[in-house]
Amino acid sequence: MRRHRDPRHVEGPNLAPMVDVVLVILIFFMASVAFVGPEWFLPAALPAAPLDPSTAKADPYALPDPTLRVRVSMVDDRPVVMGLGPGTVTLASFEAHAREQLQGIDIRTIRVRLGGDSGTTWQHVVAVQDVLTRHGVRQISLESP
Amino acid sequence: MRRRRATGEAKGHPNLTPMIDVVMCLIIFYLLVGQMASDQRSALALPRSGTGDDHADALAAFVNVRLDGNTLALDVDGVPVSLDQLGRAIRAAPSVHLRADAALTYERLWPVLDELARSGVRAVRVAAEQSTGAFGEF
Repeated sequence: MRRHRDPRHVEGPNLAPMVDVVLVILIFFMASVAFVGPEWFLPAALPAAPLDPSTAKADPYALPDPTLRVRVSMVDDRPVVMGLGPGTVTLASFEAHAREQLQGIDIRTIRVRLGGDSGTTWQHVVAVQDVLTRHGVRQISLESP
Repeated sequence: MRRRRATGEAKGHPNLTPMIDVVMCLIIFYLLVGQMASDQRSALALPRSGTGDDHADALAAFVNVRLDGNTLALDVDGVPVSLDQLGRAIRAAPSVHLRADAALTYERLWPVLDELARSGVRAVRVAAEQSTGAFGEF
């Protein structure tokens, strides 16, 4: 006796498990690309011609350097910032200090040479660069420790 | 008169072949993009920053700097290089993206910046992890 074929029967292998696996793989790759993703980029200039300070001659007639030198140092294992306005401030309060010091100044003309002393980390230097950039300072260059 | 369905496509069972084709193409796309991204960017704890722009130049050289034990480990687009070879490795790149470990001391990082400057690089783009900008922990 011949069996009647089910009209819903599809010839060939069942593709549903493969589709499930393939979709899981797709979601995995989409998620992994998203994790590689978000990064900021902050522009920073490098010194044009690194000079050996011991050989640099002091010019007695030179005008004062219009560039601000902002330094990050470690005092009692805490990062402090100096060079923007009088005195030294902790990195934690640098945001408010920078806002106060840069108020009313034409920021486009300001150039900042930023550096870190012994013991400061790259995170500390980037944190200062972040604050200065947020307040509109565009010309920041990194200088030697 | 009712039309008969095409052979192999029964009622309630759509043809999955085009969907599988598209999904396979998407998988290959994400696989390649993920591979290229991980080649350029090694896994580093980047410094956090609340500002910056998120435009990464695809043709830029990604210089990755981290500490491996007590020695400075450098790579350019995933290819390990020494400090002496750094200038040659980035020569053809139109710009340089610097990805350095946040915990590196500035003193340890400076030779890399100095070498880049000596190689004619006038500016770098400092890579940072996006953050809301809380500085309380410093």
